[in-house]
Amino acid sequence: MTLNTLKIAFCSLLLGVSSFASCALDLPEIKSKGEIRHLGIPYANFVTGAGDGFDVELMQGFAKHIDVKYVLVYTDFYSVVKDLLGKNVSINNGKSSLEGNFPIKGDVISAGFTYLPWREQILLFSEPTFPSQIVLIARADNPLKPIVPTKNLVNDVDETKRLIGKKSLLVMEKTCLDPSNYGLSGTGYNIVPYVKSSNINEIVPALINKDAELSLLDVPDLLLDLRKWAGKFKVLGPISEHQVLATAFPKDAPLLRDEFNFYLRKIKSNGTYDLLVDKYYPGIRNYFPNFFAKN
Amino acid sequence: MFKIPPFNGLNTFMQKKRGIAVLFLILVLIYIGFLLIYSLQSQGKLKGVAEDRFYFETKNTSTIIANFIEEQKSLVQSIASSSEIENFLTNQTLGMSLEYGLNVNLFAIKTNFEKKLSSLKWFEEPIYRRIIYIDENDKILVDTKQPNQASDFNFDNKMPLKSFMIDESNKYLILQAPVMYRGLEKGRVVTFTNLDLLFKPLEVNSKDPDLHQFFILNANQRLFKLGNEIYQQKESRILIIPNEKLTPFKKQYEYLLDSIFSPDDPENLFILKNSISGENFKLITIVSPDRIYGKLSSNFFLYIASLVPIILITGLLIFFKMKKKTIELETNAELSSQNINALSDANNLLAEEISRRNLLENDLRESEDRYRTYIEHAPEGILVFDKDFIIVEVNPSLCEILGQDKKSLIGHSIDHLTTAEDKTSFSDQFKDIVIHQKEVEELSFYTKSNEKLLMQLKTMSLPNDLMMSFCVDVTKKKIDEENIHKLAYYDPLTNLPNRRLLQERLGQALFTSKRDNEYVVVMMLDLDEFKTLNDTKGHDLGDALLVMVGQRLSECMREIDVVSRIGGDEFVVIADRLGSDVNQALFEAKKIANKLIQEVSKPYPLEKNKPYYHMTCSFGLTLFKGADLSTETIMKQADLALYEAKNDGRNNFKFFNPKMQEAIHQRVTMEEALRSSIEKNQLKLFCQPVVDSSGTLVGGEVLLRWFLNDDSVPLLPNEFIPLAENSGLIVPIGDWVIEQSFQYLKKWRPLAHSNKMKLSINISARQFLQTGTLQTTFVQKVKQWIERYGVDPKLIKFELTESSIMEKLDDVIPKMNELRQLGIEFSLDDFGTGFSSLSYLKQLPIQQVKIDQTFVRDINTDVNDAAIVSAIIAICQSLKLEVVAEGVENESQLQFLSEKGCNLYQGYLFGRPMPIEQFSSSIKKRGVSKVINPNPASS
Repeated sequence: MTLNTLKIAFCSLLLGVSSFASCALDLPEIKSKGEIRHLGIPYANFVTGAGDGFDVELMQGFAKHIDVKYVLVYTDFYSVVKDLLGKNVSINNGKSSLEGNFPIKGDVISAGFTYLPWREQILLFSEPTFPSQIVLIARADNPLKPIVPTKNLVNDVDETKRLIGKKSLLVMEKTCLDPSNYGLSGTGYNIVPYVKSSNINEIVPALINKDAELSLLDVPDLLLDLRKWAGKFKVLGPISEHQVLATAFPKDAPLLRDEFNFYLRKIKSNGTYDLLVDKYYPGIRNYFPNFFAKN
Repeated sequence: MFKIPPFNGLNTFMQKKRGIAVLFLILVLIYIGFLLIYSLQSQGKLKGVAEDRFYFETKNTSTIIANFIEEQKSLVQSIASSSEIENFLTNQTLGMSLEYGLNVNLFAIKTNFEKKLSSLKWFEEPIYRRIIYIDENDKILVDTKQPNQASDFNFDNKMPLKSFMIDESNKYLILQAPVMYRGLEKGRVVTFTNLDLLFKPLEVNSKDPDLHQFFILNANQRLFKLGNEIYQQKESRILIIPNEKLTPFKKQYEYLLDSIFSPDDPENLFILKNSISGENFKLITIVSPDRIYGKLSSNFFLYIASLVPIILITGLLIFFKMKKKTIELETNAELSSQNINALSDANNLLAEEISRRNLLENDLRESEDRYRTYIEHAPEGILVFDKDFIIVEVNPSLCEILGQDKKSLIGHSIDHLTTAEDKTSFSDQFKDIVIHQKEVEELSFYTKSNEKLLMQLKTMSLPNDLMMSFCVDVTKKKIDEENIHKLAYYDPLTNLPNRRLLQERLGQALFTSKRDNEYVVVMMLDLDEFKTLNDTKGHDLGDALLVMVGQRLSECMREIDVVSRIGGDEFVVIADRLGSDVNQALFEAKKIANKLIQEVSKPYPLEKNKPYYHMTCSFGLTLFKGADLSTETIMKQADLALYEAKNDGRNNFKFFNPKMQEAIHQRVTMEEALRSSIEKNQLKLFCQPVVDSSGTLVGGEVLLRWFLNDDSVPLLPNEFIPLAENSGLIVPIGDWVIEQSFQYLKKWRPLAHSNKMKLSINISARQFLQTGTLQTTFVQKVKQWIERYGVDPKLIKFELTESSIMEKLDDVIPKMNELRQLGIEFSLDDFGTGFSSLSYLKQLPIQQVKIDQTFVRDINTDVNDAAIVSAIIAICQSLKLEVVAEGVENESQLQFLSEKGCNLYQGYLFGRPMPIEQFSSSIKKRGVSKVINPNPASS
């Protein structure tokens, strides 16, 4: 490749980036516009769908912090990145790429959004807002027995994955329950994607409804579902190590992300954050004592 | 002097009735005996009631405590069977681990426990201090213990599940319940209740020194509270007393009081036992008799009380004796004091009367001063006179109003109030007001300076046959009222009634006409060309003329008639009582109208040393008799008649008739139709060819046709152009014609020889001279159209009629010159019908003259017409103007004209007016060639 060819390629890249960037709004544009659009996905108690939730209140607080009007825009896990960036995302061998042109509907994603490597390639993440973990669950009548925990989480994850075998596994792609995030995709596993809806809250009812023998479930949902569906399903063991959830921004909104981090640190230090956690996820501290001990 | 009888009644009574008194005393003693016996029996019953009340009180306390303990037992049971624990056990049975799932359930259990800690209260204090959940292996799974809470409790797993335990060191009441899951015991829930709560029901009595309560536990432990401290003491002795029965306190029970209190007389106490929770927990009450029975009297007290009536009767007898002596003494003293009091009362009455009279006198004096001050300073004049009308008093205001001094009035008759010569009349009027007691009347006074004043007089009677009058000067108020009335109802210039008063008078005339069945005529007058006077001589002279007209009209009319000016140069005259015969009334009305026209037409000496001004007027008359018409309708009728009179040449009069209304209506309808004719596409352009002497088409005259109601026969210009002129519609219609014509010129541009085709367009004077902003003048608009359609101005010819422009040459010529500079040519239309002045021909920048067809028509038969045409052609030739002969219909006319030197023709011989599209196609077809009559049959 000659130097000229390289130059042309670089310029094209710059042009592409600049045309893409012209669509997203950073802090000054949002302040001058006077409103921030929060892309929320009805999921667990992060965005309840009834106008409240952990992330809804978190972002309402942020809107107040930067003195703009708060607007909640509902979306789903399949469309959320497209609605933020105006581009569709496709993942190939762990590599994310953007394509197409769509209307931008929001300025920020905050909806129990798991920090995942493929997402990090196309989005800017804030500091962690919440802990999570993915577990393997089965109906109560399933003969599989939960693992006996060791003190080693990696061993526990391996032990749990071994339980899956050829059994059908209910997953939800492009979400935190996407099997590819946890090395469960490809041959060898009987993956059953849940496509009736993009609402993770429906995973446990689907499992109980015998859509599959096993399912993945995230801990924030587990906290709610163990009460809601007590005795109907059981946790077999962990599928992932501890994860973090965070608020996501377009790559070209670094000022907005930095301001959010500043806001997050402020509410963690003044106790507002703890009140929010206890309001929407009582008991989560017991599950992730280390995460909350840091705070 | 009062006479008092000797006081010895009681003594006599006592002596005579001694036997009765002894009998009375015996009866009293018997009564007291019965009362004593009854009281002793009642006291026994009261004691029983007091004991029952006390039993109830202690029973109630023990029941409250028992209920509390039972409630705690059922609470711990309900906690042990809560759904949170059941969920945990279910998930545990499913094999879930504490790390992955069960920890969530345990947290839910803990949350539930903590909710109980904070929500359950008794006597407004939290019931629980701590709740724990222990599994079947005695491992604590959930514990609400706070870091600062005592933790050295060793629970007794052998403790009967349905009982309770007391932890004296930590002051807990401990209860527990088994956790059952699928028939198996899966651990226990243990609750730790604040022990102090057990003493809460006892706190009501804790301050009572006559009552002491504590608990006995398991028959050998005392549980009591001293101050804020709770103590538990074991005792080897066992208390044996009947349950729920007041038992006198014995020596052997004294160990129970140890550490609690030390009574002075223990044997005077009672003890009571109440079971709380079976035989193992009892409430002990030690109480003094006073606390139970209150202050019930003893038997000794009753005996003493029985002696009281005897002592009282004895005391009463002694009292009466002493009283008798006292009364005798008091009677004497009273007799002497009564005499003194009578004297003193008479003296007081006299003093009060003197004081009252002094006050009245002062009030009278003050009142008189007050009224005098008021009269002296009152703004209105005040006059007091006697029954002979002799003035007794006047105030300074009246003197000032009349300009007279007080002396010249007081003592004189009231006719001195005026300086008028006819004092008798004044005096009579004044007396009339007083005698007939008229409330408020107005009377004219003359002051010393002979100024006439109008006074409002109000008179009232005074004591001693005197009268008082209040006089208020209302002269200015009256003048103001008259001025206001005049301003409202009269025209300030002519002093004639204005429109408002006219309406009123017309209303009255209508009424009287109907009532008396007589004719009334309403005449509306308008001065002819009054505007010209205003414009040329100025408004001052115009106003002067209006005043003169008003005077002349008034002088011509009767007193009862109404002459009014309703605005501008419009006057209205109402003449009523014209009799009931219509012919007679018509005759009278015409006579009046003629007289008025004649009078108004007389010259007016408006300016000194200058010729008199002449002015004519037109009248619209409407005659009616008792008709049910509104004043507005009558005015409208007169107005319509005036309009007709104006249209009929002015300086005359017309009577209203219903046809006028109809004609007006038709004109308005026509005008409305014409207004929308352009939008409805009803106007069409026609064009009549103009040819030269060789028969070659050299142009055309644009003519307008109105296809009203989609008729195939259009209206010709003379049928609607006058209406358009009058209504002002000529401007938009004329503009439309020019724009349309220019568009055709643009269309013809590509055609061969089109540069020789001139289009003549008729222009109205009103259109030509229209005023407005710079952009809306005729010249400016023509320039814009030329630019817009790219028309060659040399192909445009505007035709103006000489009669329409001659009066305004000063305005017309500059505009013509301006358009001439563009290249536009002008043609003088209908030449010969108007002034036909040679000087005009020379003065106007025209290039063409059109001989009116009325001269051409009879050119071969009428010598005069032939001479006129010959002359016009000759003049034009000498002035180097083109001549077009209109209305050429036959060869002989053509030959005559040709011989005389006219070389442009227009008429049926060469072509009738045809739709301009047809004209266009004929150009396309033939080019500019010799024209053959397109419609010879019609020509």
